[in-house]
Amino acid sequence: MTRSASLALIAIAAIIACRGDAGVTLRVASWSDPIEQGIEKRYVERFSDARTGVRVSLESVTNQDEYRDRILTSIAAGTPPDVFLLDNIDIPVFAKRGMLLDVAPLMRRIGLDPAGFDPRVLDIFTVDGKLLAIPKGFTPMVLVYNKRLFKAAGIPEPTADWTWDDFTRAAKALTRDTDDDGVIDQFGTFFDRRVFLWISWIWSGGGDVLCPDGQHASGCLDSPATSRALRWYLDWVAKDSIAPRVYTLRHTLGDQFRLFNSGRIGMMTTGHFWLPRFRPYAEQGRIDIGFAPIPHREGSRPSTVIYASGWAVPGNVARPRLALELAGFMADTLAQRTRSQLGLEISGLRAISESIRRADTTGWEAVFDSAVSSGRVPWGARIRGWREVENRLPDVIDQVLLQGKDLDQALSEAARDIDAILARTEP
Amino acid sequence: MKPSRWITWTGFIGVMVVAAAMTGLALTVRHAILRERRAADTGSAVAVAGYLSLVTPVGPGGSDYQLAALLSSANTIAANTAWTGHIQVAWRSAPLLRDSIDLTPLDPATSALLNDGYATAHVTRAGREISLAPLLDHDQWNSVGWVGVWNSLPVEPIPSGVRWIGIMTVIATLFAVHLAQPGHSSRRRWTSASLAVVAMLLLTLEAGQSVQSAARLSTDVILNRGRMLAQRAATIPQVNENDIDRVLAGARATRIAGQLPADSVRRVMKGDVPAAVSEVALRSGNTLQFSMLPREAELETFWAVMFGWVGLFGLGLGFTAWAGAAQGQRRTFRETMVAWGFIAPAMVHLVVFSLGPLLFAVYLSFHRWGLIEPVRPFVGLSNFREVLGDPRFWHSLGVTALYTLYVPLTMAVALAAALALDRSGVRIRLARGVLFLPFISSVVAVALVWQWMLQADFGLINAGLAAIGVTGPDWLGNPRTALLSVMLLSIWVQLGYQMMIFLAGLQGIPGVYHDAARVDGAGAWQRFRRITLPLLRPTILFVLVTGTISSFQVFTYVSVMTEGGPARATEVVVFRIYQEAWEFLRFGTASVMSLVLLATLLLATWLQFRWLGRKVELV
Repeated sequence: MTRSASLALIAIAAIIACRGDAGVTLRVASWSDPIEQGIEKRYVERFSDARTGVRVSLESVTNQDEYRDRILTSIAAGTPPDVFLLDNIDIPVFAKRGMLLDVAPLMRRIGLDPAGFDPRVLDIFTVDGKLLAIPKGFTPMVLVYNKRLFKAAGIPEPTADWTWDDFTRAAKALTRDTDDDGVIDQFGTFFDRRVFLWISWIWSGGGDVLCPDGQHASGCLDSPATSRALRWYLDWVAKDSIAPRVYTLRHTLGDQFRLFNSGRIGMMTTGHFWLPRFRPYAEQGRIDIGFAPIPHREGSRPSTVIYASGWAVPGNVARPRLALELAGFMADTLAQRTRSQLGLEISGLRAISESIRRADTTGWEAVFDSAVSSGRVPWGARIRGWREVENRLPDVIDQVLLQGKDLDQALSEAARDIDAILARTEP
Repeated sequence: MKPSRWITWTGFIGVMVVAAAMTGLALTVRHAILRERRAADTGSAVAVAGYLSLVTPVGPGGSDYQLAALLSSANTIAANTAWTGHIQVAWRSAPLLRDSIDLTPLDPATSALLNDGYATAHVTRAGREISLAPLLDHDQWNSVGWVGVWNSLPVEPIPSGVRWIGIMTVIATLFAVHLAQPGHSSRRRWTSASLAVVAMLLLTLEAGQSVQSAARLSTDVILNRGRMLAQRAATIPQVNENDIDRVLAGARATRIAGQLPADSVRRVMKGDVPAAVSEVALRSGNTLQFSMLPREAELETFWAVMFGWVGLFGLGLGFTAWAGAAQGQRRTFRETMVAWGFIAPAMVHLVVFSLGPLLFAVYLSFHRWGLIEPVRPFVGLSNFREVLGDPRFWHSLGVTALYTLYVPLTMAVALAAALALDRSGVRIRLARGVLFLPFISSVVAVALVWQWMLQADFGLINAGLAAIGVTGPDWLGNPRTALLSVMLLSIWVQLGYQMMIFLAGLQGIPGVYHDAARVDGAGAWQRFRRITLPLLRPTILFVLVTGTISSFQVFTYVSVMTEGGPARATEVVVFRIYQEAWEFLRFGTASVMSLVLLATLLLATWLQFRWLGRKVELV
């Protein structure tokens, strides 16, 4: 037999061998850091082990933007993953035209009790009565603070009913030139222009960036309450100088964590998702941290935003039932407990979040839990044009802080632009 | 002289291409019509399955149905005189209705697909394609049977469009054979070929009409049957009105209060999106409106493929005509073929990765195209109006133009470096390597390192400035310095590359010119101005054109270092296009921006060629 004939036979045998694999491969896509990837890998392997002939391929991407591009492209190409992690900001995009399976009527079939989930997190994923994802976890935005800096400054730690005045007083006391070289090297707080970090502050000051119907901004973004709240927030750097310079610390560098963990920032806005960034330092005794709800303006109700993600199944996958079972498996009790124990998020399952809170000796989980009671569904989970709105809003901060524009004028212009954005976005 | 052959191999290839294009056209039309038939059958099968699951009572102690009631419900539909085509319903694997075609047993793969609970399937029996939909249990979870539907659309043995194409294929092939013969005048040859292409276009339009009609009919069948079954279900008191949507699972269901339902399928415009709607009166007094994108409005891919075949037909015919004319000129012919052989790979690459996307961008610019949106309506010039009236877009174009100024700056520095390093020696080679290194480094890594270096409080650059008593600015945080910082980085990266190009140009200048100038007493500056610079003009033009094009395409540095900020001071046009497309999912307007960028680049390149493209006279 000639060599080429042998090679041809081997190739044919290989093709037959591949065709002979009658098993099913399901694809799960998520954005996750290495810790999360480890957990997800473990769970998809368990699912594969439990079902003969089913293989699960985990496609994890660390960068969330890249992840979104991939998901959108795969759906556009007609080859969506069988299960994918849905961020709350993308709910309106996928909700339109019924691109995702409604999991509400099928929850019990995949071994999940809807009543066991926190209704507030279910509410985020519910659009027109349809549940578009099985909640994986969620978090309200809160304040993390350095206890040692508070003690050193001789000021009381934040309480559950802290007000803005209390916050400003504490931040001023924490802002210090510790080595007397004429340069401030310890700041009370951290300023961030990204909307997802400051929207809670505006809400807790009685303002909002959109009107309640979500269809326009005029009359709300440029209202006195919002203007007053945003001015107070901008004053952290514009007047009070209680935060480092505005743009020196870009998020890609992760400097806010370095500064906080090294004791150069007293307080900063955070979600549960950043807990793993602080915890190792706390466990090593290098930092002593506490959490508090976002302070509110005197006379306004405390308010914060809740962010969540969940496992969704596209409506056009080849094996929806199997995909749903996998989604349920990824969100089941054991998976959520593992994630919660690592501090990645609050479990969407009430039994787990309660047991984690009871077992927590630091008191952190209790603060997150109490913050949930004043939590709101993020605008991004309801408004299709939110990404554009979120892109336009930081211009107001830039215009005021960098270009000296009058805040009310900047808000008024932004409100007009956002009205136009929302008007051209099909609901 | 050796007589010419009746038909050459190349002529034969051309004829084959023509025949292939015609056959492809016929198969595309046939496939499209079959697809419409299949869609009508699938939609009907899903509607019947949905209806049966709504109206059939549940059996004792489970979610499966009462078999007698299921049989009765299925019989009611099959006996309806308004129902054209055939229907079969199976419980488990047992057929409940008998028809001329026996569908049982299904093969394991189809059974598995249906048992998964949601997917539809297709089988071929007795030469007919049959669409199957799973019959789900009352909980809509387990599959307890299936519904098969076929011949929902009237069946013609051969659709008229396909019939005409079949006849025309034979005629066109014979015509191509005729063209491949020697002896025709050039004018006659090309006129005939052009007329044939026009005839082919007309034929394509005629064939497309058949598909268009089938698609329209298919939409009507789906919506009419859905309406009929949903209306019947709505009259049954036990049926939950909220579940009636499942009869037309592929359509969007809206409940409208206080409106009488229309009794036929209508075409309406919902905003700028066409919709086909049918309506059902609910017991509650409301109207349930089903709407879907008419299938005839979803034929863009079909038309693109059809015109692709016309293009291939034209190419084949042109090739045939040329092969016929080239008989007897063997040398010219062979040289041309060899040349095309060399060009072909690059041509294919250019067409697939440049020309194709460019044409697609033009297409997108006239549509509201949201990547995952199933509806992508034609919006005329609306995207153009929006982009051209958007001050933020013009701002980003202005920022890009400003950024482009780094190109001449880099060129000046690179030319100086090239002149300094236009010698031999180990140190010189090392210096060239060091300068070239940034160009071959990872763009993202370079951007991140520079981001650190430019950090205001603890960055290397400000630390260096502080060492000499200067307080450095917030490079990336200040709108006045942010773009400058990105430009500095770009200069650093591009310097080595441009220097290498200049070095190559310098080494291409014959030494004899400099020697002669020296003999004539010219100094270094004079030699540079009178000899080096003029002779480098082609190199300068090359560097300027490629540098300008790449500067207009800057994205990564901005994305990594500034994200377009602060205060949009670094929001270059490609970053804006990326945001528009991938963040806001507005690919139509993003495409318009790309086209404006293309026009700007074409203009800039034309101007550069006009100013610098004169030929150098070596006197």
